[in-house]
Amino acid sequence: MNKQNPQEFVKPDADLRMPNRLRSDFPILQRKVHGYPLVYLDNAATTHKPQVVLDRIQEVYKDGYSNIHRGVHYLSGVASQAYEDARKTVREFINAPHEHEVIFTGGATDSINLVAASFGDAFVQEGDEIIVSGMEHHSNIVPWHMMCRRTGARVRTLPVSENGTLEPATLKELISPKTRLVCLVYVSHVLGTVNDMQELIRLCHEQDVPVLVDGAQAVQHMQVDVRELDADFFVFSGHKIFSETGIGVLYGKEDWLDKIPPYRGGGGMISSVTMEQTSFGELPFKFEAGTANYVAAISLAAALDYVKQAGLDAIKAHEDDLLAYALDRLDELDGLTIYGNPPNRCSVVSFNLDGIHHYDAGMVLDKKGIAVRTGKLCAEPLLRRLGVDGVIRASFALYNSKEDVDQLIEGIKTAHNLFRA
Amino acid sequence: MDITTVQNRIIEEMTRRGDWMDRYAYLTEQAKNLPEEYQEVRKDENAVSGCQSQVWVDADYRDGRLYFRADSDTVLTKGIIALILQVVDGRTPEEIVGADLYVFRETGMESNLSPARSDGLNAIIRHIRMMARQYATG
Repeated sequence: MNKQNPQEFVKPDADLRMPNRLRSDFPILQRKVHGYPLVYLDNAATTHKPQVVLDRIQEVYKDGYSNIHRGVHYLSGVASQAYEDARKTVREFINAPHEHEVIFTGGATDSINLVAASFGDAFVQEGDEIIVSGMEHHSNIVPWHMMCRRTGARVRTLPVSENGTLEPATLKELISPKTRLVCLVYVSHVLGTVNDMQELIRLCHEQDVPVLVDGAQAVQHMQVDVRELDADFFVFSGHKIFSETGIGVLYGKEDWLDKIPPYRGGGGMISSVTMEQTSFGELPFKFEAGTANYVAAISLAAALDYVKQAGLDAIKAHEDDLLAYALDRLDELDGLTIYGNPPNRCSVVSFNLDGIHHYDAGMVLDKKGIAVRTGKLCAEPLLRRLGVDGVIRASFALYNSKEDVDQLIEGIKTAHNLFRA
Repeated sequence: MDITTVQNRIIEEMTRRGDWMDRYAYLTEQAKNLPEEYQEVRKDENAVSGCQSQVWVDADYRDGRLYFRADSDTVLTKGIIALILQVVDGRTPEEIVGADLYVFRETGMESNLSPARSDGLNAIIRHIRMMARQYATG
């Protein structure tokens, strides 16, 4: 890097230059779909991968691949080091106090299942209650239903307010001496709501109730500090923040992770095994049975480094600007309903075109090269609350631009013309 | 007209419309041709599972032939249903069971209607075949 180059010192204008500069880092965004340049607005489902992440994956397989924490040989050491470095990168990224509080899992869903199984075994009995918000993705509902079936506990629902937020006052009323755990989404994958998580957690802690935070839609859009939030458990997926699929994170406070039993048994998570019994290993390994998806974990570290370099403040400024522009442009259109009106919203907008099925609209957008998500979005309770059986969702990432929004608007007009004629 | 001729005619109509928007406009027109009273089939017992959009199919068996009524909550699927009915409606169960229903494979609808929709398409065709099989002899 040439330090004399004055361009190095020019802070890029978050509004205009970021997507243009960053877009070219993502090879797939250069391709066409149905003859049109790809307009990718399905980032809440998954994000694309920058070249640095793709390179890192190939580099590991070509140059530093061997099973981790197993062998005495050189390559095993290289891979183990890279994997543990990845843990360190994650710790720093979410500002966790300790590296051993960062557990690598298969994804946010896997992380939640781990807590539901282990926490359930240790702390939940018949008659107990788990509070789950009505804003959750199915991944933060179904594992709790399964846990309740095993334990005889029941799920109590924290309702979603009229404007699409989770209200601390409502939560306060719901917490009882029977409440064992509260499970809440930080950023809604349907409404884009950024919930007042710090306050929600504070209220739970007032009553000594721990909180699990689903951060799957948060980490890629804004600074997350698990210490500041004081979250007891915090989960996210790698693939939604530009890494390879099949990797996720469970952050848990040391105290809780020590108290809950291992989720899966196998190699790498023990201190000793006889034919009669097993002694479990220390954190984080007691939760990482079997060969971890360490290449994906290493790719996650590369992705987080990429995000850090782009700058989460700049990303947030850019995405906020983009969302405001999208909301304005959608608002200009007749016969369009936008769902939720939260005071703090992030990177996601769900809507419907009056008189047009979301699926028909999605099919037309697809043929214009525009990728959106349609349907129930794995959030049936929330959609029921909204009174619809499906929505169209546009969700943004750092590489999206106002031109992408313009294309979406043109696509919607095409759908209008086709189906309202 | 036999099943092959009807299918070939549909394929010709679709191929003539090279652009996807034209094809969708054609499907939208077809959807409008489905009689309104077909909406009566919207009952749980007529639901076809495996589709992202909701689809309902029912059939009457009269004088050795099957007469279908079907509906969907989405326009494009309804258009596809209208085309399927052009192929199978009023035919004998044996004809339907024995036929190669290649119309959507040939028009590229199967792969280009998105995999989810393609599953739906297959589900509808499977459902119709299953109904025909119940009445087919031999």
